[in-house]
Amino acid sequence: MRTLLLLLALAAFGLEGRAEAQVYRPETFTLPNGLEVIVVDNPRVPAVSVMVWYRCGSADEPLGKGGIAHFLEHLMFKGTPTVGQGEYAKTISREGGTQNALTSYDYTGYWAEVASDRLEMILQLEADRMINLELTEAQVTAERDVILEERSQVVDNRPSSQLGEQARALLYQHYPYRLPVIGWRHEMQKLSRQDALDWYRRYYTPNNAILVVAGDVSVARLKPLVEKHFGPIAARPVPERWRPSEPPARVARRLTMKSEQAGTASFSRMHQAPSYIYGDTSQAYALQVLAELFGGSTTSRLYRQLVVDQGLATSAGAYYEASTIGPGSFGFYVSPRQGKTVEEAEAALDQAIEKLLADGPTEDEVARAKQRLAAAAAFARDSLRGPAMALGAARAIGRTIEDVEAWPRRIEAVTRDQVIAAARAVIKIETSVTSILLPKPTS
Amino acid sequence: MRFILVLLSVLFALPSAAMDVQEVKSPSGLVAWFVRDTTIPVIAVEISIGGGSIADPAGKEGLAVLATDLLTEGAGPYDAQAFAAKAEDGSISIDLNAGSDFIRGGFRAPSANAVEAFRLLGLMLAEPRFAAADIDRVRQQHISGLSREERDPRTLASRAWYSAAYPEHPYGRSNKGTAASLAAVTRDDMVAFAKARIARDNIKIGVVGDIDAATVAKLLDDTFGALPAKAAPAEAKSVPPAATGDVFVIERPVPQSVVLFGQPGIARSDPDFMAAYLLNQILGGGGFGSRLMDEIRENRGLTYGIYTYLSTPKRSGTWMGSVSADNAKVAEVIRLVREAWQKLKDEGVTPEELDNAKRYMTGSYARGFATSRGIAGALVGWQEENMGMDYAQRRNALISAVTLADINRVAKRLVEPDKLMFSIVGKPQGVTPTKPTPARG
Repeated sequence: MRTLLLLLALAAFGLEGRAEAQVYRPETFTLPNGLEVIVVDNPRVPAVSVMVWYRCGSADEPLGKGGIAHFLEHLMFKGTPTVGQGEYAKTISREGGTQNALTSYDYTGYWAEVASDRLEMILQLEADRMINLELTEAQVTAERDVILEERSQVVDNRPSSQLGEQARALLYQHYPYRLPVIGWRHEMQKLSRQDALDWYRRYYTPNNAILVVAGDVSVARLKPLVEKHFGPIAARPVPERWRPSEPPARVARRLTMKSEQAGTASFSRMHQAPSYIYGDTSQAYALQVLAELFGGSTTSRLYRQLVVDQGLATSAGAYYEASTIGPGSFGFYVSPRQGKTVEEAEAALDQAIEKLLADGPTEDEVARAKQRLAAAAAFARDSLRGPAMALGAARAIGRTIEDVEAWPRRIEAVTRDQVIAAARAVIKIETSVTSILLPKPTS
Repeated sequence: MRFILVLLSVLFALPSAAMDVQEVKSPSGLVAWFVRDTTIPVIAVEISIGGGSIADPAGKEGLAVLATDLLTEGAGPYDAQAFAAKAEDGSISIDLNAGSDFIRGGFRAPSANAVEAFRLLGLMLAEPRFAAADIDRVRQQHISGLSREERDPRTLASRAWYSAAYPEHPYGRSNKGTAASLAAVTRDDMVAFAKARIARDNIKIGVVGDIDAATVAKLLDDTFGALPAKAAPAEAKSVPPAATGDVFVIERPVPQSVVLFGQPGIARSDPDFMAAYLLNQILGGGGFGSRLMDEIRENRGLTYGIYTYLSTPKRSGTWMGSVSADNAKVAEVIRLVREAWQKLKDEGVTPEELDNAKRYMTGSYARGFATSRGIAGALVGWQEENMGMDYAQRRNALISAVTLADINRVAKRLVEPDKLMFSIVGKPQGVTPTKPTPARG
C-alpha cells in the first residue's frame, strides 16, 4: 500500500540465511550505466518477484523536508507520458500481478509480483518511471492528503506509535534516525511538487538503483531484457551519502505516556548499538545471538524468567536491529501481568540484565540461540518475495552479497565470550531510552 | 489505456505442484490430500478440525480459543518449555488456532525432521497436558489481550458491527470471550473440549513437501491413529446477518475515525459466488484500481486505504468493508461509499471492468502457491468447502465463465445499499448515529 516501514527488521531476520554455506545463491551483473542487478533463480512457482531499490531514504532528506522520500514513493505511481494516472497498478493487475512499495530510513523500494512470462512488462514500467515521471499539482495535492491520512492511521491514532516516535527522537541525538520516516505533520503539509521532483531528479538514476529479480528467471533470460529497457537510461551524478556521527550518550532518558487508547501498561527500553555498517560492526553477529538467547522466543531467558517462572508479565523479549547504515538499536520489552506494576516488571528485567552482564549466558544458551537463528535460514527459499527483500535491503545499505551469503557461517562462529563482550559494550543505562505506556481511564 | 502491452497472451501457468493432488489413505483409513514437492527440502502440514468457538457454552465464551492455545503449551512427556525446545531442536514451527467454525494449524519443518514434526503434532492433539500453571499463564495473556482490544478502535468497531448483525448467534460475540467468561473456564472444560473436537472423523489433513506417499500414510496412523473415532456434534443454526442500514458511533478521542461497514453476503456454495467475488474485486477488493480506492483515495485523498471483502463463515455470509479517515472527512467518505454501492446496484459493471477483474483473479492464482504452508492450507480449505481434489484445475474456468449478464444480475440481486450498516469509532463530524451502539460479549 505504498507502505511505510517503521521497522527495518523485516529483511533482517527470518528471511536471511540457510543452514548450508550459502543462502540464496544469487547471481549478479552490472550495466554500463551503473544499474546493479541481482538474480535469484528459484523456479518453484512460475512467477517472479521484481524489486527496484533506490539508495535514498528519510535519513538522506534535507532538514525541513521531512517525509519527502516517502511522499515521492507514493507519487511514483502517478504516471508518465505513456502511463496515465492509476494505470500503473491497473496494468499490472490486469496481468494478474500485484505491486507496492516501501520507504525506510536508508532506502526506498518498489516491488511487483507477476507470472514469469510477464517479467518484461514490469521491467518496462520500472524503467519508464525511473526517468519519465510526470506530476500535476492536483495529483500532488490529493496524494499529500493521503500521506497525512496515513500518518493519522499509523501514528496519531496509536499511542504506542506516538510514544515510539518520541523515543526515537531521544535515542538518536544527532543522527537523522531521530526523525520519523513519514515526517512530522507540520512539515508534511508543506511538501510541494517541486520538492518531490527535486528529490526524484537527485536520486532516481540507474547508478543509484539495484534491481532484484527472484523466482522463475535466469540471468540468460533476464540480461537482454534489462539491457533493452534500462540500458538506454543515462547515469547522473548522485550526491555523496554523507551521514553525521552520534555524540556519546551521557544520560539515561525516560518517557511516560498515559493514554485512553492504551488498554494495558507496557514497558520498553532501547539502547543505541552498532549495526552491520556503523560503529563496532564486529559485534553485529554476537548481538543477534544475544537478542535471540535473551529474548527471542518463549524458551529465551527473559520469557522463561518473567513470564513463566515469576508470573510477572504476559510477554517479555529482546530485539536487535542491525540492518542500518547508521547506528542500530538493541531493545527490551515487557508487558506486566494484571495486578503487577511496571515497576515490578522493570526491576525483574534489570535483575535479569545484571545477571546476564555479570555471568554471561551459558554455552547451552548460546548454542540453542544459534540453532534457532539457523532454523530461519533453512526456509530461505520457501518464499518468492523474501529473497528479493533481503538481498535488496542489504545492498541498499552497502552490505555485500558475500555478507548475506556468509550469514549462517558468521552466526555459527559467534562465541560465548563475544556475546558477553557485545552485551557489556551495548547494554549501558546511560545509552538507553526507557518508554512506559500507561492506560488512562476513559473519560 | 495508453500503455502498450508487450505480451498479449492471457494464459497463466499454475505451479505443477498444486495441480497434482493425490489422496493418501493410511492403513487404518485416515485420509490426507498430498502434494509431493521435491524442489526444496521442506515439509508442511495443515490440519482443520471441525467446530471452533461456535460451540462455546454460554458463560464460557473463549473456551475454544483458550483451550486451543494450550494445546501447544505442553503435551505427553514434555512441559511447555520442553515442548517448545523440542520443536526448536528440529527447526519445526508448529501452531494451532481456533476460529469460529474450524480449528486450523499445522507445521513447517525441514523434511529431514518430518517424523519428529508429526510426532509433536500427534502429542499436541492426543496428550495435551493442560497444566495448572500454563492455564493460568495463558489465561492471563488472553485477558491482557482483551484489555488492549477494549481500547482499540478497530476492535470496537468490529464488535459493535457483529453484535448488531448477529444479536442471537455465536457469530455476534467475540470468539476470545470476556475477562469474566475466561475466568469461568476450567481445566475440565478444556479437557472436554479437546475430547469432543479432536477425533479421527473430524480432521481434514493436507501434506506438502519432500516426502513420499507411503511414508505419509504411515505417519498419518502414527500421528492421528490413536485419536477417538468420532467427534461430538458442534452445531449452530445458519443465519443471515441482520444488516439494517443503521449507523453506530462509538465516541473515542482519536484524530481519525475507524469505520467498519457491511451488508449481507453470499454463501461459498452459492452458484453465484464467483460472480459475487468478481463484483467485490471491482468495487473494493483489488486494492489499487478498485472503484472505491480510485474515488476515495486516488482522486480525493480522503483516506490511506479502503477495502471490501466477502466473508464466508460456514453458516452465514457478509460483504464487509473498512476505511479510516480524519474525523472531519469521514462523513464525506461514508457518503461516497453509499453512492458507490447504489451505483453498483443501478448500473452494474462495464465489460472492461469485468475483463480486468477476471484477468487479475486468474492470473494471480498461482502466486498463492509460492510457499509450502500456502499449498497445504489450500488443500485443507478445499476439503472444508467440499471443492474436490481437482479444484485448482477447475477454478480459473469457473471465473472465466462468468458473463457480463451474470455479474450484473448478481449485482441487482446482492447489492443492498439500504442495508449497508456502519460502525464508526472516533469523533466523526457530521455523522448522526441512528441507534445506540449494541453491546455484547
